[in-house]
Amino acid sequence: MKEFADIIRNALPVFKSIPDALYYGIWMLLVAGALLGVVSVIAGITSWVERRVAGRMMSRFGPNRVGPQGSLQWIADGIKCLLKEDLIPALADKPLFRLAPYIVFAGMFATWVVFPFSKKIIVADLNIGILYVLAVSSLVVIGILMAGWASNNKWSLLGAMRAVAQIVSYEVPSVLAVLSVVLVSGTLSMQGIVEHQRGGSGVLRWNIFHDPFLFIAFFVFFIAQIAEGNRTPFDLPEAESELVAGYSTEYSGMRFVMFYFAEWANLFVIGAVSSTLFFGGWEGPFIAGIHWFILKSCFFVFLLMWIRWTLPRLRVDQLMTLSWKYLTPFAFVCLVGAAAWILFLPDRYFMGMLK
Amino acid sequence: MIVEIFESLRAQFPDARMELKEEKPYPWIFLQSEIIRLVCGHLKTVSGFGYLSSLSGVDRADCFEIVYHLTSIGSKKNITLKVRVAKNSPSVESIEPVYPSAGFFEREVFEMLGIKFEGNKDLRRLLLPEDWQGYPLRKDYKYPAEYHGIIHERGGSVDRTKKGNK
Amino acid sequence: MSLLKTETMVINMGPQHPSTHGVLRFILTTDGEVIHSAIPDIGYLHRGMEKIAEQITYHQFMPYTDRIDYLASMNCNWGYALTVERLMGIEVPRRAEFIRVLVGELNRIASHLIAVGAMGSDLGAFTPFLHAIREREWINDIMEMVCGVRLTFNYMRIGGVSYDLPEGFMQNLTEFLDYFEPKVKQFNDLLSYNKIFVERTSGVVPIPAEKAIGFSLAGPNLRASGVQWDLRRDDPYSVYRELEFEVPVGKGEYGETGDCLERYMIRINEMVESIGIIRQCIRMMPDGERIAKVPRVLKPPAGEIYARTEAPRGELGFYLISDGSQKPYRLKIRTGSFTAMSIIPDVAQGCLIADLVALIGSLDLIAPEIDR
Repeated sequence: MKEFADIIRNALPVFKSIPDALYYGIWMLLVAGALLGVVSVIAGITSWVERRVAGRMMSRFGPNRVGPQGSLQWIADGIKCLLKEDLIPALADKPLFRLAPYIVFAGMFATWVVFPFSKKIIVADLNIGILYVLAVSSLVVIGILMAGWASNNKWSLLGAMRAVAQIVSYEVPSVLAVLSVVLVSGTLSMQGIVEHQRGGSGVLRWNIFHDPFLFIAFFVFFIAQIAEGNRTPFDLPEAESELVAGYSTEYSGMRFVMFYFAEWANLFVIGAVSSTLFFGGWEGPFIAGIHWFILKSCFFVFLLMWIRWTLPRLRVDQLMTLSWKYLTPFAFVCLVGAAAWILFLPDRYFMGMLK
Repeated sequence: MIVEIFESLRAQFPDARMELKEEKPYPWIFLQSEIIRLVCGHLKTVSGFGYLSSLSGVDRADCFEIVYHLTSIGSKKNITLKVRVAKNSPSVESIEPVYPSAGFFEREVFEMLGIKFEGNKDLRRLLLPEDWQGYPLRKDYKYPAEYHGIIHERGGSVDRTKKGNK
Repeated sequence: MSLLKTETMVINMGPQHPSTHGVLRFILTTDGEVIHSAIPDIGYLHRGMEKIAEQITYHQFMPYTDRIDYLASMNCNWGYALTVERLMGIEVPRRAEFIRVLVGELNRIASHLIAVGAMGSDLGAFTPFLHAIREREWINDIMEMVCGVRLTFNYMRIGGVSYDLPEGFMQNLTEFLDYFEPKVKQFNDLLSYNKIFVERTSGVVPIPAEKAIGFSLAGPNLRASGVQWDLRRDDPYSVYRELEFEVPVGKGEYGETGDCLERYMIRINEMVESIGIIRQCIRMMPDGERIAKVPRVLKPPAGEIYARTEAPRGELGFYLISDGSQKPYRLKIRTGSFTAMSIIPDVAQGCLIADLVALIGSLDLIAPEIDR
């Protein structure tokens, strides 16, 4: 986005008289506000899509009254939640209680900065792109723990503990799988990873087809990200039938919705990161552009919903076993395998068959 | 069949008072309250009546009756035992050591009729709140006028079979 | 060292619980996730049915029996009607008996659908529950054809049934059976053989046969532990002697005998058997009266009886004492869920909270049956 800022500054001389810090500061605020708007709308629409998809899978209608096909349902829900009574338990830790949902949301929101929507549209093309995404998304853990602790409720604490254990355990295979991609691409920058996958008539150079190890790494990464996002089959922290609502039990109104906002927007984040790392980002057959990025991310969002409404949930010890005993060794093998592959078969793509 | 069992019990416990009542449709055996646990143990191990179908209490005019229905899964038969206890100090041995399911059954009889079961591990109210007064299934039970501020409108029951009370 | 200690946590698994088992409460003492003791607290749905029975006539008590177990109302009605008929020596016409078996088995299918669906829903699989409800809607429609009610049917009367089968009933029922049979396979593919579901339920809290008998478990819970006991076959009532059906018994093929998955699969298999029984009834349905001649004012002879039927949740027994007057002297209702509740404090020690949820779902507890 800095290029746009510079273009406008050069085009209109009146902006040159404003000091640098102020100009770029205002520009950053505007972009952040616009991004917040985009994220909120995406989260809201995702909630509507989820309810319709869930309804159809369960052989019933989803919401279909408010607006055409119920597409304004999320606005109605948002307004309703804003108007609700702000209930804070008497013995809760008030500052932490108030802060927790926003930290969870911030942890998720900050990752949107490096998404390569297209060649020109990226808020900030950091050269540590994917590392930044992984680091900042761990803020969510702090938020969840704050929520569980501050609620002064045993069930919330239990849910928060489970969530922390789960997210921290699944960081490991997730990062290792990403490392395999970074090895192959040679750069941490998100645009750089997409650039590495360009060419090959738009499909053949995708990382997932690069070698069998990256193919496996994608599945490891995807499963780990489902667990990071607290989605079924890994939704034990918010398991309804066991813990009421886990760490968000005591929350009501907009604070409660914040947690789920973060979860729904996180679906898109998972889709965006998966499509950037493994599926070529905004590259695609015929014309490359933002439409391919959106399409691929939406496909992953749908896939996540599909999995959620089909599978039962894992028990906490089974969850841990899956992460440490199965996914982490697989991720290690993928990392070593990918390194060996690019050592012995450099500059090839599509399973080493094409140059 | 029940005659053979009765005879075998007679032989096993010669000095206990028992009585076989040949009523229609199903007969039953009256026992003394002191030997009920021993009899149940004997029936479980020797005659194969390992399944307690039901344990209920009845408020008769002059005494309380506790009725045990036992089933034998192997021979597909059932048998009914009855114990009578006096109303002023109703107490009988618990058969929970023999049939673990009796724990809950006896708790319910305790709270509904006030019969104490010696040896039941956890004899306290089961279905009703802990601070409920009285034993509801007794024939002379009066509904409380109010409970924690909830007023009971009619202080008894309305007999809807009488013509004027529809 | 005294600063570092572990304490057990007392958690209340409250009366309002998102599982669909009614109003149950457990007081759990846990060490993290592992349960040290699980004490049930019941009575939230206690309506004093046994006391009510002493104050109304025999005919008037029939609608109350619906509410003993509202998911299997036909079977509860049937148990009560059977008890009074045996006490009075009333002979029920053959057509009425076959109608009773037909609707009783149909209700068994409906009840088991909810049971298996709710168990899946407790474990996080929300979709199969709604598919089960979708199938059950058709059963509700069939019941509505017969008696006008969709849940608490109040269909049976002492001496027979209240309405005869209407026009088009057999047609509708046969269509439903043809539609439903492949759906069981679909349900199995979606839930029963799902690896995650199997991991959550296989080998979880196995109840050995001696313990099951000792705690007087009944119905599918007892059979899952390997005990061959089904009242329809071993203490037959109505026309079950003339019908051919298998009784699924647990053999430990899915894990251990008597574990949660076994109890779940027994219910699935029982549904399939019920379809067969209903088809036999449709074929063998005789003509005749729908109800015997029973006096309006019913005064059974003084005496007592304990009669039991195989309800979907186990042995439903009615112990009825009559003193010759219009109203029962004492009516005791023995239900399958009551004894299933009593086993939980014993077997829940040492399992995780998540396993307790699977256990409660697999025992198919329902609060109105426990509390009456």
